Order: sequence, then C-alpha cells, then structure tokens
Amino acid sequence: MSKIPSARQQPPHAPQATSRQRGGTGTLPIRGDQGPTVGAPSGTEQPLRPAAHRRRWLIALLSAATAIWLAAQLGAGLAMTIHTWPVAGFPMFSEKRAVADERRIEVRTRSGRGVTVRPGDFGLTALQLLNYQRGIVSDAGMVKPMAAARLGHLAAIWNRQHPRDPAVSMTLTLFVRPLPYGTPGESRHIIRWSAS
Amino acid sequence: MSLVRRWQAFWFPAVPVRRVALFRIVMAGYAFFDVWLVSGFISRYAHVDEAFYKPLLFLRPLPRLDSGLTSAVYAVLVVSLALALVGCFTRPALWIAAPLYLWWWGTYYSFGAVHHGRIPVVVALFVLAVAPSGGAYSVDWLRSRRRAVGGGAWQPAAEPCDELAGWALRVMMVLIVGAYVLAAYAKLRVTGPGWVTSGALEAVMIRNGTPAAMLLVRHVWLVEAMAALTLLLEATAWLLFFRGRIRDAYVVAAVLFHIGTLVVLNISFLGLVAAYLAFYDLEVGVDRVRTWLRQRRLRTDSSARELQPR
Repeated sequence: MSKIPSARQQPPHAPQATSRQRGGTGTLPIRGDQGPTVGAPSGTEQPLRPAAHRRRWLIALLSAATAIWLAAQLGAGLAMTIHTWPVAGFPMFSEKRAVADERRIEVRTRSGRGVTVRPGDFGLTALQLLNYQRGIVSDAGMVKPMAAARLGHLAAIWNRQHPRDPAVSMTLTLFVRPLPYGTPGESRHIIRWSAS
Repeated sequence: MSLVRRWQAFWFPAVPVRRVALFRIVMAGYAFFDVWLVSGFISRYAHVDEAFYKPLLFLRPLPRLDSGLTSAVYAVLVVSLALALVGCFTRPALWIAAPLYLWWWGTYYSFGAVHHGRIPVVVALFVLAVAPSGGAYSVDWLRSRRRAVGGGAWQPAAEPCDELAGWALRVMMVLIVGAYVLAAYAKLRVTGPGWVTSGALEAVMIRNGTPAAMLLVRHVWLVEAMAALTLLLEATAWLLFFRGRIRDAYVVAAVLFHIGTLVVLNISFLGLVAAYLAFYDLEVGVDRVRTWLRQRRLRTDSSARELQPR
C-alpha cells in the first residue's frame, strides 16, 4: 500500500512571521488560514476572501497545467521523441547493437597536408559531431542519401575556419567491429568528398 | 472520494514550507554551480556554424542569439540563480532563472545531442517559482520577520504548511519516477527483454571509451549483468512512492547506479540525483542536525565548566 506523505501540521519549531502583506515572497500564511478547500461542496462554504479566492483559482489553474504536462510527458515518453525536450521521451541506448563503430575524418589541404579533423574544429563535442556524421553513414555502415554532399558541407565549414590552407578533399572512414568486444573481424566504409 | 478530490489530494498535499525551501537551496544551488562552473563554454556556441543548429521544438520560434546577447543571458542567469539560492527576491529570481536555464541548455542541446540529466533541474526551477520556496531559509523570510518584529506583528507560529509546496515536490516525484519508467519502456519497446544481451550497453561503453568501461567491456557476462540491473532499476522506479526502507534502498541503488554511469560512461545525472531529495522530509533532517549541534554545544559547555578551576 502506498504511503505517500500526506498533509500534516508539524509542531511549533521556530518563530514565524505572520504578516502576509509584508512577506518578502507573499507566501507566509495568515494564522488560522487553512487554505483553499478545492472540491468541497459549494453550498457549505463561507464567502471567500479575495486572497483565498485567488488562491483557489491558482490551484485550479495549476491542476489543469499539471494534467496537460502529464499528458504531454506521457505522450513524448511513449512516442520516444526527444525534440520536445524538456518534455521528452527517454530512448537513449534502447536500440539493439550488433557492432561497435569508430569514425575518423581526415582532410587533404591545398598545400598537401593531411589533417585529422576534431570535433573542436567545428566548436562541437564528440557526440554532437558523431550525430552529424550519422546523417552521412549509420553506425552499421549504411551510407545515407546525399552522403557526399553532407560531407562536402562539413568540408566547407572546415574551410571557413582554415581559409589560408583549405581542404581539397575530405574522407570519412567508419570502422565497424562486431560485438561482443574482442570478436575478430572489422569492416571499413569510406565516404569521400573532393573539391571539383 | 471523487476522482477530482483524489487528484487534488494527490497533487496538492500541504507540506511544510521549510521542506520546499530546502529543496530550493539544493536545486538552485545545483543549477547555479552547473551554470557558473560547468556551462560557460555554451557561450561559444553562438559562433558554431548554422548547419549544426537543429533547434529543439520550443526554440524554433525564437531567433538564435549572437555572442553578445548570449553573454548577457549568461550573466543574468548566474545572478538570478545566485539570488534564488540565497532567497533574495526569490520568486522573481526563479521566474527569471527558470526560462533562462531552459533556454541555456536547450540551445546547447540543439546542436545534435540531447541529454536528459537536466530535465529535473529545469522542472524544479519552474515549480519552485510557483511554490512558496522563499518562505523559509531565505533573505526574504529574514526580511519579513524583521519587518514583522519592528511592526509588533511578529509572534511564534506553528510550522506553516502549503499545498503549493506539496504540489512542487509532487511534480518532481512524478517526473523522476516517470523518467525511469519511460526509459525502461523505450528499451522494452524497441528491443524487448533481450535488450540485456543486445549489445546496446556494450556499444556505448566502447564508444565512450573510459578506462573503467574498457576494463569492464572485456567481460561480456559483467556487461550483461549491468544491463539487467539497469533495466530492473528503471522498471521498478515506482517503488520510490513507498516510504521507508524500500525507498531508501532504491535511492541508494539509484545513486550507486548514477555514480556508475558517471565513471563508466562519463554521463552525469547529478541533477536527477539531487532531485531525489523531493522524496524526503528535509526539514526533519535539518531539525535533527540542529538538535545534535545544540546537544554537542551543551556537552562542550558543561565539560568546559568542569575543567575551570574553582
């Protein structure tokens, strides 16, 4: 049986200010004020003072807002969507994985230098760049439509940061290793973009 | 009892204002240090290329801010969280801090990687703004007491309780339980009970590549046992609604779980861990500490008197 904490009054413990009018946050209760009686039969009630009336409306409003939030949270959770953050689903790490992957992006610059591209080159974290790369090739090695164009877009962004020695080609290499860890075998998928 | 009354009784239990005030200190404190010490780097995202910016739903109608405005938001956010922490103009401070904190992390998550660890902090700031969280342990409370004493209106009162304080904490409880249960639901719906042996956890461990993860991942049975425990923990989060040892045991397990995710996966859920305090009678803890300190001081005073030469 649920033993959720319920409404109760604690014994006196410390001096309390009792002036609602003067309260810094306007939340200190007036002595003897039992608060609203939401849901009580209306015929038995005394006329409400304006403050109590306002509070009753506030609780009704919050009640409705809570119901809406709960429905939205449940909907997002069942739909497993994350774009609605902070009212979002929680689908992280829920997909079956037969392989582990590792990605590497390299550019060849106009001067002939070979440079390994880091997430920091774009001002991103490793996970943010990884998720962009997943739009080019999936973790299992499936090349997505417009993969070369998306890689070219990445190269264009990199070139804006390195105008003196821009990239003339960019290569995304995906290493796919079977799970469990230590299982032999590795496949390699390479996507290339070159400046024409 | 009618359904409406049951609903109201569940969501609006009158709880001591001190409880929600202590919860404010914890969550505003977490948010303050999170923004001040951890998240300063988000200012730099104003310079990140537009191609990476995929705004979350709530940010789509809003323009992307330049670096000057981002820095201004950062400053206002830090100041408002500091005020909320000490309880100075608590409600306005929280009403400023909550949407800015939402915007701040929402902007960061709009660059292709959404994390869930800060959802409880965002929600906490909003519900604390509504609740009387400045009604105790705050500068506001001290000021109001001083004014009341000066005006002769001050007198000792019983522990003030408030339904809005109860509502704020109840929202946090439901959010926490919901987060775990929905995470379990996603795993079971996408992969099924076989998620435990599906390699999902193993792949994340290898990708994140922390020393602890690379050590553990060599033992498949260990990874699968960890996955089974993860699923069990998430699916049984509703146990948090039971008072007493069941809840305590669950919280200990969950805290250990999140320490594990931090060490093994480098994923922080500290905001969620802090939000667990919504389940506890924090004011009782404070009273116990106060009593213990008083007794300790009395003991120290009496032993000092005994040592004095007569």
